Amino acid sequence: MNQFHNQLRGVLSLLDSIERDLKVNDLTPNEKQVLYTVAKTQKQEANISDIVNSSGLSRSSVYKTLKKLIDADVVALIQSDHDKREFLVKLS
Amino acid sequence: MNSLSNYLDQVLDFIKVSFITFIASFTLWLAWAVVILDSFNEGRLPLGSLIFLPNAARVIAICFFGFRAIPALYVAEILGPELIFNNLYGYESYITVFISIMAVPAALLLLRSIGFRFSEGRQNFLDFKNYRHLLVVIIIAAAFNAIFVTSFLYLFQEKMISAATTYRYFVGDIIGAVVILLLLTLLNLAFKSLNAR
Repeated sequence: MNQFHNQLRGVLSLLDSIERDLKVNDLTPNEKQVLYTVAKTQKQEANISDIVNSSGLSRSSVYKTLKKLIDADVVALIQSDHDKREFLVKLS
Repeated sequence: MNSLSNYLDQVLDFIKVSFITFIASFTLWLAWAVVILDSFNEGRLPLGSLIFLPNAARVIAICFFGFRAIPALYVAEILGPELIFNNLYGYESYITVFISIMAVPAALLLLRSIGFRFSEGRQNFLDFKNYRHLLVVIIIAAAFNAIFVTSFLYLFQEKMISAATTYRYFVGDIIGAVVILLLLTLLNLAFKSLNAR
């Protein structure tokens, strides 16, 4: 009985090891939401206003979350070519 | 009495392993037939067998549950074409499916023969909880499957098999297993997020 459960736990550990390498294993729901929004954007980079609109999070939450994701090297900020005051977000 | 309990526990384990393996393998076969083959037939994908999803069930079931998963895998892969496509591949598939499934134990035996162990805490052990170790088995099993199945079809069924076919089997098995591993990871992630809320 225990052997079967241990084997099933082994499969879950395998999936955890993939998550760790994809760097998505310890993200909070907000971080996942922001990352998902950046990943699904049709353009190469996402505008911060787009992330605020499609994630449903407040602007300050998005900024805080982005800082954590940048520190974790999951996403990167780049300056917009059109407007130097605007920053775009892309996957690292 | 104790030995009878142990024996019955083993039988129960075997039934659970067989059930879960059958469901996983049959579902993947169905998904492959419906999603991938249909996309190929409608021209959205270049080649259906380039993403052979059921290979993931073979590798994961045998590596984690052991050789006792083999009967359920075999039944699932025979029943798929038999029930859904009315024996699409003919009776030769009874042998080719067996060869394909046995490619995984063959890969494990090869690794064992060169000194790898499969228990934790020993030197040179393969730990399938680390996906890189599982990838090694996926690649070797895909090579065995490609070589032996196409050889069987060429030698005994006298089918015209090109190098491209063998290559497609090899690449299709690897891509199929990797796609399913990534999908399972995303599902696991989503499930954990839901539980965390």
